[in-house]
Amino acid sequence: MAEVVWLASYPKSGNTWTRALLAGYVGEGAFDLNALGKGVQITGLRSLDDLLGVDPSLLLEHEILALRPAASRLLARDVAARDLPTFGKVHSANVETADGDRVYPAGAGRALYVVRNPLDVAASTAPFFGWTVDRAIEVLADEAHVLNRLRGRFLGVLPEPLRSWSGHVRSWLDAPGVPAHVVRYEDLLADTAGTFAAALRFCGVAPDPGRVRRSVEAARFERLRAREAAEGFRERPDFAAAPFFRRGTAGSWRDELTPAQARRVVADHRATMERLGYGDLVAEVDSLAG
Amino acid sequence: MHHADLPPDAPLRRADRALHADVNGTAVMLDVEGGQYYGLNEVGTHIWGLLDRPATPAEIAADLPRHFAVEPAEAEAATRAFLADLLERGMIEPA
Amino acid sequence: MSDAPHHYVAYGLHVASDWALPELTEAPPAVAATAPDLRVVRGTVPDSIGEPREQRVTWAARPGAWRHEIPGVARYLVHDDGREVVVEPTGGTDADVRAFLFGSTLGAVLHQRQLFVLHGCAVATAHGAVAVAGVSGAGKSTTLAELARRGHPVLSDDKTVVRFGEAGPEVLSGYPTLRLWEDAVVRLGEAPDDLAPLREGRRKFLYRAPAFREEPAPLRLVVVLNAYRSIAADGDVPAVRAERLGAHDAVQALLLQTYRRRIVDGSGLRAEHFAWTARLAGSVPIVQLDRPTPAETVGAVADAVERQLAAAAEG
Repeated sequence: MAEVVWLASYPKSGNTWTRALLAGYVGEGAFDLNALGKGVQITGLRSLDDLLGVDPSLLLEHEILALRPAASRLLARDVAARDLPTFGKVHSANVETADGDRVYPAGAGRALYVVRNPLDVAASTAPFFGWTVDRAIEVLADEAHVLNRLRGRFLGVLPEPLRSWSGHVRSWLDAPGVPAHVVRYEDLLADTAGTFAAALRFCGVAPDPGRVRRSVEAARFERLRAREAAEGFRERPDFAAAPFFRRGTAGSWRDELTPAQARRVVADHRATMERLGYGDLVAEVDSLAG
Repeated sequence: MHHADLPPDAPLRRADRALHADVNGTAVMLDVEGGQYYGLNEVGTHIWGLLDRPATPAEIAADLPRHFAVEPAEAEAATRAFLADLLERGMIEPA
Repeated sequence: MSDAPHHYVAYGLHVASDWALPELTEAPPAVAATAPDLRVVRGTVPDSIGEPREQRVTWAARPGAWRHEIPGVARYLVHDDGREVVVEPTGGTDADVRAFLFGSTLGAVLHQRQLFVLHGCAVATAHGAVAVAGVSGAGKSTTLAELARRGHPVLSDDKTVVRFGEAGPEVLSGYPTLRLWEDAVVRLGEAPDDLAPLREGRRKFLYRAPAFREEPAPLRLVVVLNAYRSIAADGDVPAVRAERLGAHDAVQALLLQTYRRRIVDGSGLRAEHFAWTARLAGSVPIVQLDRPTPAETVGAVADAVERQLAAAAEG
């Protein structure tokens, strides 16, 4: 019996890297960056269309939200007979519906929750979405922010309520009945193989050290960047000025956020940062001069 | 089932769940129970044609060199692999 | 005879309806006087149809019955081999109720009637009919709008029905109302706000085709439209590529492009559908058209469709 593993993260937090690692592991090292969805199944509009049995372009935003818990349960039922877990990429927060259910509800899978400190997320989302850093910080604190709002053309993706960065974390880690394993982006950078192996174990896969090593090698950041330059990358929004794999280091916020901006991020997210083990960063920002 | 287990003289036949159709000389198949779709190549189409009535792996393998440029040993190996595959997918069954 | 207040024709069926269905063509009096092929009635839809053979979030199917529910809008039951649709509004406006009536519900009607339903559109040309199929986002409706703008009468949008007549496969005439995203409406030179939204609050609109064919037309070509993300440098737009599919790929493409094939499975009609699919694949060329995105390719795709049609007509 195979489970659904929601590969959940706020945008620009390491979701694509984790998927590349999983795709490399499943596909033994080599993979096509533009076909990540083949090795690792992505939840998207077409998948939802099939699960709902109705064209989502006929539905209003609140109707889609109300139907998503049932869609998640049906997906879990559809894939139960497979040998390997099915991975569903999710940027949405695990929000509650009007009748108290969750979009990714209890009993329909588990969550690999990929998280990155909000200082770096602010520095990284700004060029990706074409925002100023101040706007990015505002979005990180906005409980009502929705990614991919419905528009007057086919988008291929669903509206994804993000909540604030802290609200996103809470929605996943405090969701009753959804087992969650936290993968910190900073830990992936520091010890890719160890962090990835622990994630695999959580997904019910006994990690094979040789395969882990090869998939780490294949997904190495420099390679992802080089591939992006050579092949383009499907997921980059058309409006983005920056390449998808931007820096691949922890701590770029130190160059890109002013002390005042860093303090705003910490003021907005102090408790959640401490909860996730970012206490050292909180202390560093608290001690900043200027 | 490993195809070494396929007895060369045990007759096989098409399973009821294997729907098939001819599209301009090519056989296409649908597993009506599982919904899985299969297309056959030229040799596969020919073998499927031979299974019109019960046939043994040995009979089928012996027939192939008469229609295709293939050595008997190669024909036998290919036939056994293909039949074992069809058997495992439930598209054929012991007659 | 039927005492229903409204009579229409769509997909060769005389539809008698308790509701006004302005999307459809009104039935001529001679047709309206006959027994209807399909009744759309206001009634009560049961909570369950028993043990379903296939199920999605909004519908359940078993041989002989298909039940659909959009919470807060309506419930629908299709039964009697696709001869009756029972509609029970549960809060939706008439436009809302029709939006889903002409969606999966109409698909279930056509499937229960054992018609071959492609997810795609069709137009009639001097060379015969072409059906354009493809997944959501492939560009079907935009292509349809462009072909219509070029003067080819529309046969159907979203659901294209192929029937085998004495002279081979033919496309049935559906109904003249297209569902277009705002960007396609603008491209046609229309003002979206002059059109009725498909649903209040969504930027998808009901658009009356400038020319519509009310008779079936011989099917000459099926195009499977596929959008792929081009990584070519700016200003270097790759061409739209056309490839005629071999027997195996053609059957597979038609299976994949069947309108909600799970309804076929749930209705217990897999075998019948497969036979139709193979027959269609053997009767007309199935051509895959790959169009690069995000490049603007509306004109190039329509050119390619016209070129392929002319080639197919020559034999």
